[in-house]
Amino acid sequence: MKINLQKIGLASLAALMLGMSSCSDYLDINTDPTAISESQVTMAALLPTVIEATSQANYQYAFSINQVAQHINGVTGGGISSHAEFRISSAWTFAYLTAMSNVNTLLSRAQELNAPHYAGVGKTLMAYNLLMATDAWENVPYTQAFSISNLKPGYDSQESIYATVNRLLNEATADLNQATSAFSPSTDDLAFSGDRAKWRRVVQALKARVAIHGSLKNGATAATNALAALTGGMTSNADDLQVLGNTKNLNPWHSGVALANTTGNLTIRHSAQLVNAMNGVTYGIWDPRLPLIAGRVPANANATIWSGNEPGTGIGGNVDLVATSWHSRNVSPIQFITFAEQKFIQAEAEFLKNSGTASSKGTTAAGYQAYLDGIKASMDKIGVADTAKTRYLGSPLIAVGVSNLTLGHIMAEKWKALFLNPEVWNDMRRWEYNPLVYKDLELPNGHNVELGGKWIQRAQYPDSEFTRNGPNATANQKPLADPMWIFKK
Amino acid sequence: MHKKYIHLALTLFVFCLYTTSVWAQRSISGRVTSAEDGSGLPGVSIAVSGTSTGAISDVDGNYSITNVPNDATLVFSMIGFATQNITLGASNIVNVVLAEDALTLGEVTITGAFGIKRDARGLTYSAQKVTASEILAANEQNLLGALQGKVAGALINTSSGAPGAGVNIVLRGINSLDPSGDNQPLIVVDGVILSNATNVGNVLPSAGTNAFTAGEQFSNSNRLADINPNDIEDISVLKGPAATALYGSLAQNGAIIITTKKGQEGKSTIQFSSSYGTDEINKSPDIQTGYREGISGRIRINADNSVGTTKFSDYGPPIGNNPIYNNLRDLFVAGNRFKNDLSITGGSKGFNYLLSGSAFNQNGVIPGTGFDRYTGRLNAGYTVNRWLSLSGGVAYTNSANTSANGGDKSVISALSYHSNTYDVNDYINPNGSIKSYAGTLIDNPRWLAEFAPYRSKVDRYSSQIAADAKVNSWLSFRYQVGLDQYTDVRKYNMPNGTDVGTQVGGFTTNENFSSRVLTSNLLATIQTNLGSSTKLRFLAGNSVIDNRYENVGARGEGLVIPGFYDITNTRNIFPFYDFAQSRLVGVFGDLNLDYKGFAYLSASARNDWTSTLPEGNNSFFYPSVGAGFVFSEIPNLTLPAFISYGKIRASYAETGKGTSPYRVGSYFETAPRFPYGPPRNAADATSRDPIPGFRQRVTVGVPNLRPERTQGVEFGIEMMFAKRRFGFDVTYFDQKTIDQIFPVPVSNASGYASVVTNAGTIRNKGIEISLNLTPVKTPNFTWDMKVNFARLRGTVEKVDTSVGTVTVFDGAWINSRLVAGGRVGDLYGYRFRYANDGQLLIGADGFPIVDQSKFVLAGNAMPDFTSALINTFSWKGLSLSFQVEWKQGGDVYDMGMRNATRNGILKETERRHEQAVFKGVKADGTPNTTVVEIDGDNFYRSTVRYNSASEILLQDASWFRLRVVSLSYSLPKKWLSTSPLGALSFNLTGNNLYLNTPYKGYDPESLQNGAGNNAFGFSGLTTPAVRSINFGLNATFK
Repeated sequence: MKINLQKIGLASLAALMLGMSSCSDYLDINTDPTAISESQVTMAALLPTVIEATSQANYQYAFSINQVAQHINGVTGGGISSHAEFRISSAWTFAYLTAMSNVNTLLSRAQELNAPHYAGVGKTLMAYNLLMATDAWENVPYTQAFSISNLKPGYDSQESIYATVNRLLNEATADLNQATSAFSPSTDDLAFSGDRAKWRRVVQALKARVAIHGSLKNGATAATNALAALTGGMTSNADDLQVLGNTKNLNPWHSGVALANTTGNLTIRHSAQLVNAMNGVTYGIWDPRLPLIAGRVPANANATIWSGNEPGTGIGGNVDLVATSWHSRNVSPIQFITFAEQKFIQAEAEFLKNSGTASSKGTTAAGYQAYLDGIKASMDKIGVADTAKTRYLGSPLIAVGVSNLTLGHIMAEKWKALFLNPEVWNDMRRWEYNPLVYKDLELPNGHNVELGGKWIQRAQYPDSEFTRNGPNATANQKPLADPMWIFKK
Repeated sequence: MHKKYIHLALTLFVFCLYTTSVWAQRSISGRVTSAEDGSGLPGVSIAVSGTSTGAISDVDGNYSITNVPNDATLVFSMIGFATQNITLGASNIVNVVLAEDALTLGEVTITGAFGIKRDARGLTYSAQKVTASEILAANEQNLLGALQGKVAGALINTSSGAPGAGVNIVLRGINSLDPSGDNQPLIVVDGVILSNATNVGNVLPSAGTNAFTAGEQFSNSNRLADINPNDIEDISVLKGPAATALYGSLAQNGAIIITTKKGQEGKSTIQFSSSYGTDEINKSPDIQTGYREGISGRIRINADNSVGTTKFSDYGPPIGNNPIYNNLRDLFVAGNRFKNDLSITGGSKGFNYLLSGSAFNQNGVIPGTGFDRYTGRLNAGYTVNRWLSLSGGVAYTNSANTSANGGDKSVISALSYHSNTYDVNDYINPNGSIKSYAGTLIDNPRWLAEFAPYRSKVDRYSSQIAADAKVNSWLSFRYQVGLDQYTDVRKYNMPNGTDVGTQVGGFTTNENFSSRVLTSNLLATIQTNLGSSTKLRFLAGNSVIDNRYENVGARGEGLVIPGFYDITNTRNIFPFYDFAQSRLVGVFGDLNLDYKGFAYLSASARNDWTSTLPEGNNSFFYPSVGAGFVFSEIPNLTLPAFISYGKIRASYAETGKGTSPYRVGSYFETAPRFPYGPPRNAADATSRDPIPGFRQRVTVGVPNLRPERTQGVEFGIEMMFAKRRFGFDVTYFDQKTIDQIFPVPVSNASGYASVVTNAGTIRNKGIEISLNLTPVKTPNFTWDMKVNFARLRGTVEKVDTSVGTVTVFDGAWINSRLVAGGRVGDLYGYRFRYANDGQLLIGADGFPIVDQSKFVLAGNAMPDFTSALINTFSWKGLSLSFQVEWKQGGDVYDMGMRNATRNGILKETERRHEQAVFKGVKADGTPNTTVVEIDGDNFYRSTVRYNSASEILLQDASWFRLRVVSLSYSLPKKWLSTSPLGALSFNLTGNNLYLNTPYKGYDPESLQNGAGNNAFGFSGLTTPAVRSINFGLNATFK
């Protein structure tokens, strides 16, 4: 027994010592098996995420911004519909945390691996996200962003963000024109499956959008630059930059609005300003797009007039974004920039080039044609029947002729065609919410008293920026009614 | 013959080896009786001096020991009695009479770290012990629930009244700044770590939920619920770092050391107990009975003026002759519980075993909910020879829990919105579909409970085996290895058409959790005398813990065939997988010196190596020291006669701690909502394969993470007076946890949401008091009183400037935050606007104004103090005990109350349609005179005027309750002498029979986010707490 004991003692001592010496191996298990390291991640794995997050951000922007733009209105009224301060925090999160931070990684990887095609697509998406962000909040982080070594990134001025956007878009053109690339996007490109020609045309359309944003600063320059960019721009609806939902990745307007509105989580509905612009009340003509973008509630309602909720209130409407509405089906696209928008940019630029003003009449032949083409593109896109389309485009209220076209015609049609696209808010702000341009546009009911009767001009930074990046957020915060640099003369 | 066979089988089963003993010399037997009344004394320890042999007397005081050396000395000892040493003479029958010992009465044996039994007298820190009879008297099926009121300073909350609901325990306050950090103590059963995790699961669909957390949806069981309380011998609660220093990083929040019942050598004893009880909710909010469903004083109408099909909220016209339904009370039915326990214990010749089984079946107060638990346990010990003994145990639990959901879009939230004008129990259409008064706006809660169940099925095995080697009189070794593992298979079904299911077309989830904890402990103990007056005990050891957790599951959304909840019957499948593993290696030493039984000194040191910290920082050392001074035992010191015992003690201890696995460094992982696209459809040529997408993980850990450290001092004084009829134990402690590791939220523009770093300090100070009093003690009648009281303050001493505010829980209108300089448990919310002189500011419209511009400190969830009084009266075989508890202070946000207020359901909304002038001042400082008419909708439902103000939302959740009252009667033994029964008793127990609180909702003790969550101060959207009446019997067979 004694011998046994000694043996056991020795054995345990040996085991203990062995245990100690292999301790560092034993403890070397702190690598998460459900994730990979930065060196393992590929550009093809990052690009889909960036595009999808950009579309999610786009929805979040639109959900708030298009209430101000009076496309839609909170179901119960008040809130953003009445110009309450809003922050679009989730758009900030999608844009910075997922879209831009990962496209930033993708860009450095593209540089390192000599993959200009990825760089071109990446820079386009970075530019798009920056443009969306600066148009929502004005000054936003970029040059100090996306770094573990600076957890409180400073904000760039809007002027420098616009310069960055232009630079990125120019670089994107150069990159996309490169004949060779070590890696090129293919099926991982959720928008175009790697069709570089389409990306090149999108870049031109974005350059035109950026240019036209400066219309209030200098209309002639904006028009010239926009028209210049449109050379080489999109050629049809097939060039639209958009992300399609599917039966698994439900379009967020479908799951977040159309379906939610059938439960206790009521969200938004169409605004009376929009429905009246399409049901004949405002413009005297029935727009065949209305029944495609809105559904009656209840479906069998027998009221003859289609109506939306009075801006800022929860009453008056009998239509809703339903699960069969064109924008809120499960497979509907989130549209970033479309051929129709490009046509309206062209129409506006031609109008301005022709010395047009908010109250003037007449444009160039090309401008008039672009206006009609924009309407046509929009109707084609959402599936208006040919007869209805022809009837609408042939109406004297629409086909007013080259010499009778007003800015009001162009912007009303653009505003309708870009339903649920936050770009319309930029148009409204650079035309200073002018009722000559936007007929019958009025401040909403229950208008936020803090604005003192002025139109809201900006979103406030998310609360998270004040708690986590306080000095920078505070330094850049401005009153809600202060116009942004780009939308000031 | 048969019995021998069982012994043999058990032995083989537990030890896989069988050795015969060869030292048989004498067998001694006899009976131990009490000097007071001559009755047999059970549980007396009989040790053979100089050997590890021994026995414990049985229920009648009988014992027998084999293998006793011829000239041995037997040591008869039992707490509360004077120890007797009997040197063996010629007779093999030794009968002993033990007398109560005034000097040791009231002292207890505490099970310390690694199962080391310590006489409480020699401890240099505070520890409390709860015995088997106290646990059984509590009549709680969750062991942590049974500790309520019995441990000074323990903050114990049952998460809800649902069967199997998790119970949360915090011993010395919240130590962690990490919102997801673990603040609960380590649980050790028979020396082996037992996982007490509360697994929350992935119960939320991809769209259509506004839930704050997944944890709010179900009051998931904490896994200590798998233990049968009847198996427990005692529980020692080690509160502070000094007590747990040897456990090191695992026990930063204290430790609960559970010892299960062991077999006793001798004749087999069978015990059977059975009990049946009923449950009902103990409190429900008052409802308004004046108005029916509608809006602004009228019935709802459609845009075209027809009568509305929408029915929602109770701001309609006066009720008139329509019935009123108290749905907040009447949804709930009487629950019931049935428990059966059977155990057999016995042994022979150095062998003992205990085999127990139990069945617990409970039906909850929400129809369809229930909890069924079956347990089995086998403990055995075997003395191989004079230097080696083996012991081990294996336990198996099988449980099934069916629960109804709480939180957002749940049974309880639907109830909180349900009109008083419609009967909640009118819930189903003839075709089986949901019948809801509000159409699709909300669900009928009863239907939801029945058709959207959540089921959890647990299989758990815990086993441990230990070898004790006694080398000589002063050196011994112990090696123990333990394995605790379980699987928890869960299934959640949500029909389409429900509030939470509609947006995804209904869904079903399958999850399979598995957990495994491996423990290996090697201990060497030296016990010797240093000279004639000093005893030394030195312990050195090594401990290895390997902890692994895995969850494999999938959620299917879009049910194709309604009512068929199989993942293959869904359109979109979202698989998920979660894995975590950590390892800890520790070596430690512990030195205890006892000088003449009155001066005690202890010192310990431990070094840990953890897998969770970066190499270079993953090894950390920490010490503890303590001293105890029993001044009543000092030789030649005469204290006044009424002082029977006195001791002071002091200790200082440090512990270090790692963090959760995989927090160091940066990762890329599959992005949410990816892979993008449904699986390729063979029938559709245009369909594509799903596209994967990765993103940078939004939490990143700094590469130089250091261990956290808890440092604590503790002082205590224990005294007993008047022949130990009265005593107290007062402990003051002050401990802080520095260098806390937690994810610091950072600007999303950095590309990260949070950075894990060492960033702050929390300090907890408090006082814990226990009082014992025996006002009456006669041979037939005894009255014992016990009081536990604690007061604790936790402050956030430091948060790195980069952090600012740590939001523990964002409850939309009320947030739980940790802010530098603030207190643990601080609640933030909006407040009404006030004029400079403090009067309520009334707006130009004549209504108060909620200042929604910023969150301000609005309350604190932590109690000012907690206390309990336990009274026990014994008269012959009759015993009555009751436990009352008083918790003072602590604010709670009733999340259900806000819903019901907005919908005009509660009594508080009954004042309507009257002209009112709100008391307050106008903006110019003059008294408000504006007359307004309250129609309900314009006030109670208004967020800007009423229901978002913390003054309305936060309530004082102080309470006074009768936690448990228990009456039991044991039949006199003489009545049983001719029966096979050794003992028979009956008991009647009531739990939670009385509750007095200013709080208006259901019992505020419930925790909205379940056990294991750190958001205190939120309640109201869980199954309400219950009160129970239970009748049981206990029988022991000879």
